[in-house]
Amino acid sequence: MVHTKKAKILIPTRTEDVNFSFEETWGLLAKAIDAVYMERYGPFTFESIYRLVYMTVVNEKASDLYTKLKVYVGTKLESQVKDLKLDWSRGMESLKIVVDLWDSQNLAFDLISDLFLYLDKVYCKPNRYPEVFELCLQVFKDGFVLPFKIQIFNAFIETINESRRMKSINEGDAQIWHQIARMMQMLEEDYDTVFNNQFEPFFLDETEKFYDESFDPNQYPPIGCLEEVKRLKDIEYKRDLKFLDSDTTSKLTTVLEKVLIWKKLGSVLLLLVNEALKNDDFLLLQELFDLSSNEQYKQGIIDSIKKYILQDLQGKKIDATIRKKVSIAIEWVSFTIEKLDHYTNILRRLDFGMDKTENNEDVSNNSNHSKGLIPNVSVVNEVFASYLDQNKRRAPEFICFYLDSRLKWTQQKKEIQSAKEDLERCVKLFKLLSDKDLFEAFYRQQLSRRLLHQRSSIDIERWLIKRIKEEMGVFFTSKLEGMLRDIATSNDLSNNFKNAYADDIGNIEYIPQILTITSWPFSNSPALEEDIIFPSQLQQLKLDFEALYSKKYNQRSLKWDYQLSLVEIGYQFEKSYHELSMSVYGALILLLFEDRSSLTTEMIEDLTHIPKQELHNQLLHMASSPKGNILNKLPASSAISPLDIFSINESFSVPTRKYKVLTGPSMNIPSSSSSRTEPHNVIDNVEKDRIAECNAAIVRIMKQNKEMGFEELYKDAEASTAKRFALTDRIFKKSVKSLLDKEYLRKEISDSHILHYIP
Amino acid sequence: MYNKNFLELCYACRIGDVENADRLISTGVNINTVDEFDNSPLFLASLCGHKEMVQLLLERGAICDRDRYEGARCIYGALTDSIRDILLAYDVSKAVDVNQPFATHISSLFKDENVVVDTKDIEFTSEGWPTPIRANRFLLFARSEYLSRRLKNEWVDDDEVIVADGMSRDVFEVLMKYIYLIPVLHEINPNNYNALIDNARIFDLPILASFLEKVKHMTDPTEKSTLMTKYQYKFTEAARKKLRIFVQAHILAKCETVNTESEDIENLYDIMLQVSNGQTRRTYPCHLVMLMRAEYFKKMFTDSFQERLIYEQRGKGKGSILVTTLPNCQFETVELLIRYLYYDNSDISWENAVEVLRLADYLLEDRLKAMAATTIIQSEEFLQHYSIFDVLYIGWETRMEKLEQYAAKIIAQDISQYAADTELKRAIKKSSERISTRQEKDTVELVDDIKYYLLEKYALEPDDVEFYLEETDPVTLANSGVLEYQRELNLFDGILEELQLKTQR
Repeated sequence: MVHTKKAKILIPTRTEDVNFSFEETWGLLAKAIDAVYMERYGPFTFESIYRLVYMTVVNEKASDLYTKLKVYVGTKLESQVKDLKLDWSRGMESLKIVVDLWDSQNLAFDLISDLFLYLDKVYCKPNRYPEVFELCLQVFKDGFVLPFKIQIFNAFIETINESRRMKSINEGDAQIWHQIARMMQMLEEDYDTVFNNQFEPFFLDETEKFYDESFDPNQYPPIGCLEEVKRLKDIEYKRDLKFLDSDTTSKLTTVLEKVLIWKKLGSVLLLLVNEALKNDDFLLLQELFDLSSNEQYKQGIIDSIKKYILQDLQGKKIDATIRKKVSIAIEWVSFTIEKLDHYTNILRRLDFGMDKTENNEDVSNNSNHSKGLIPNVSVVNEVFASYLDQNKRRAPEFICFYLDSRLKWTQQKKEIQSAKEDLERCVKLFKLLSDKDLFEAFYRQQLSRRLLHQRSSIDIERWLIKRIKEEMGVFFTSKLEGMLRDIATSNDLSNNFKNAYADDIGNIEYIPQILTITSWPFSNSPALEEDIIFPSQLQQLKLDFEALYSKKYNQRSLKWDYQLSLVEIGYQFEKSYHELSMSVYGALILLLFEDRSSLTTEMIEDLTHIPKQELHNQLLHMASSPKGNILNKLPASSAISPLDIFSINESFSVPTRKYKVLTGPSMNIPSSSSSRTEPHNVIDNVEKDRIAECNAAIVRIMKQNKEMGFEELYKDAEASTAKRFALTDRIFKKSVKSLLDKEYLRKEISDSHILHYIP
Repeated sequence: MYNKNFLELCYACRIGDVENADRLISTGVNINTVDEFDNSPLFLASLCGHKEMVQLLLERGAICDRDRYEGARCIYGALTDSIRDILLAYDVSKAVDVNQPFATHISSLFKDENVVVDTKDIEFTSEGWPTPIRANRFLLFARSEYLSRRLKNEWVDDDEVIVADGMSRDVFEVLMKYIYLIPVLHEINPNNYNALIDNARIFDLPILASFLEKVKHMTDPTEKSTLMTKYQYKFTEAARKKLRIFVQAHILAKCETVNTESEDIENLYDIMLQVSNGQTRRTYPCHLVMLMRAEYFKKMFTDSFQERLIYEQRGKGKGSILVTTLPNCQFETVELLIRYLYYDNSDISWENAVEVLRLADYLLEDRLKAMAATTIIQSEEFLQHYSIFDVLYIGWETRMEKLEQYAAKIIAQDISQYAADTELKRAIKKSSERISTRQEKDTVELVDDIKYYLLEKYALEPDDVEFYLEETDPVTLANSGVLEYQRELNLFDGILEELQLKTQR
């Protein structure tokens, strides 16, 4: 660029600039503002006032103008407020006056802000000062609303409370409240509004106070109390909506619920919940539930429901005086199942209106059934699970007894069908058990007995195991299924054997049972009693079967467990014919008398090679049973000596055709008599399993993490074993100790709470 | 596949053969297409740095819309700053053509939505019409010769006109919408084509008629919409022309003869704009709806001040026309304002630019302000007559940052000369006293801007300077321009020291 003729022309000055006087201009503006307040601004042209503002700004008096304006608006307000006839004892009237003042001021502010548009655009916006309208609102706030805050607030709450006492809503009043609320919402304060900062907290507080003082639940019966609360809530909600926005209304609803429902109804609610459950009144229950949408409240109702159910369950006393454990078990389980069905049915109909995703564990465990599991049912399940947990030691065993009782002697189709229904109900119960491994252990024990003694239909056993599998996972049923498989294999073998060795078998009904050691609940492998002497026919049978088996499965070793076997012998006594069922040893002894009339203890021992102690035991039972002894003993004493002489008691007789010759306690098969089961053994075994499982879990976890704190490890192990049992401190500590001993883990030297994995 | 002439043009654009390109364009080559590599002639000229070629292409109608890929590519690809400046400047004026804000404004008037004041002054009804159609007389007058004749004669005193029987309301409405520049082409009922063509001819709307003739026989929707796009542009241009003629003949030409007091002011106007140039006074008869494009006039009628009262009285047939005054200025300035408000004219001469800027600021019309500022920046002559400091001060006064930066740039370009000018010191002082609208405190805007443009002048980055401080090879140093830069920077820092202002790097 060339600048040869620089500044040849001067920027034209505005002709109006020459005689500018701020004082004079302001004087004119003040008059215009006066006119605005008097609503007599017709004679003024917009142009002339705008021009005055413009001139002031371009003559660099914007900041002076801004200050003057603020002061002037303040003065105007002051003089108007002075003329107000405010009598704060007359709340509604005063509020009306406030609203009128606000309306007229607002109108003036609007006009002033339009006239001072140029100031807004050129001075306020670029400098981030409040624009003229905001400035006016500030003046109004500081000059009127805040100085009279207490009076306005009180008038507001008093008129509202009056309306609350009248239990009615006056439309005109609501309009005034609405306008006052709007006013406070428009006034800004600390980046928020006067309404939010000051009024709302005040209003909520006062509302709480009002209802706290005015509502006395003791005036009403429980149901009436509920009705009254609902009514109050409803009216209040309708009233609030007329002058508050939905945000504040919902806050108010919360307050109302807090004071009315939680504080006042608290004790009544529990009563009502109990009442509803007692009378199966699910409508009332639903109503209680819908009273508040507060999560905490709903949880409270659910807790009350749970509490009630639990109390109901605990009301059932287990009569320890009845000696028969089985019948106590059956009664208890029937009772529990019935209650479970009952509460499930009531709660199923209840609309909880929320997504409860607790009991995730159930969902993952029971893929089939829990898909349709509604949260209500899971509430019931929670209660029952905790109830079962309280009866930790008994519940698994009792349920097994119940199942056992339903499974036994179900051979006919009709029976099977009704049994299935009962079992299905019971499934719902046992899947809630936390110590599922204990349940499995009991169940296995009883299953083995049913299978070996052919006490139940194999179909229904299979069906129930399938259901257990569905509910609890394949993990629990692999051994049970193994047992069923063994029985099936045995039947096949038995058929093969009958076909191949029909001649040798003769009139003996031989039922072989081949059991896989690991599947069955018999901890000890059978003692080798190879030298036991069988009668020749039985001996031949034994050899034949061994030959058949090794031909079929030449890799497997077959061992005989006489203690698990059972022999039935038909014998014609003098008075009656009986089918005697007894242990193999007993049978061997009895068969000796086929061609001998009497034998001494020594002779029997020689002829059978039964271990001495076992032999004595058998003889004792055969010779001295309370119901009837099939052997006579000389001399008749309760001790066995080598020279005692035994013979068949031909005069034996019992009412039933079948007779069970009771055997001694060394028999491993659990007998049908409940008094002979040994839950403590089962529990011990389960505990061993648990430790093993816990070990496995810990090793898995530690392998991954290498180093972990005690508590952290406990949590992980707990989660990892939860499917089978609830991990206890004791088990965990035992497990850790054993792992330390085996040098899978070591403790940190400086901090014994930290464990390291030793690879 | 490609037109031979087009490929030759592309080559001319690469080598900068301006004469040949001019010749080729005159053969009717479409200059807004691309070659096989997707390059447009404008992009090639811009990339290869041929400034004259870029100017020629723009004069001949090459499109450079920076909001579109092609235009943005031209600007970013520009080899030199001067080419980029030309493209950017073009983009601003082009934007006026593309957006057609006056057309948008007029379209918005037809429907009575969000109106501050009712400005419609004629109503058409006919038997069987459910509702009348209301309009602004002046617009009908400007757009259609036929209607202007009627308005001057039969309808001169009528507020309500009965349309002849047989005119369907739909047809009449389409015609009215067309007059109001509402894009209606896609909503015409084909059954109305014939009636519309006849009436378009009667109303003296030949372009509409010719479009309808063409579209009548078309069935292919793509073909139809291409034609519509083409014609919509024509419609707008035709309207602009009509409004230009109207403003010239019926507003500007009357400014000395109109008598605000007389009873017989044609009821074609509803507001008088009065202005004095210091010696004499002129009165322009205008139309409130058009003036209300400026926020000032809109606000004037929002509240019930005198202006509104007078306006409404006259609407009821009582009292005289509203006269409102603008601040004193040259008549050219007011006339430019009117042309701008009526049809987006932005042909601002450098002589008027400052006044237009001020007037636009007064009226709160930011777009006109920007245009006036652009005129000042683009004008070569402006600085021959005004000092750069005038530009700076008017920039401050009207809050046009663009001008402040422009001034800083010019000063940086010629720092040696301005360093001797005492006005520079005053300007810096004034700048330091201004309330900074920028975020940083403790900086003087003008100083920062000048330093920035000093660096830019030598195409240097702050890091480069650090780097060169350690360079010892005299040839490299001389070539880099860093020595010159340091010299000029020291010169400038000297001034700041005199003013005792802290210097920041």
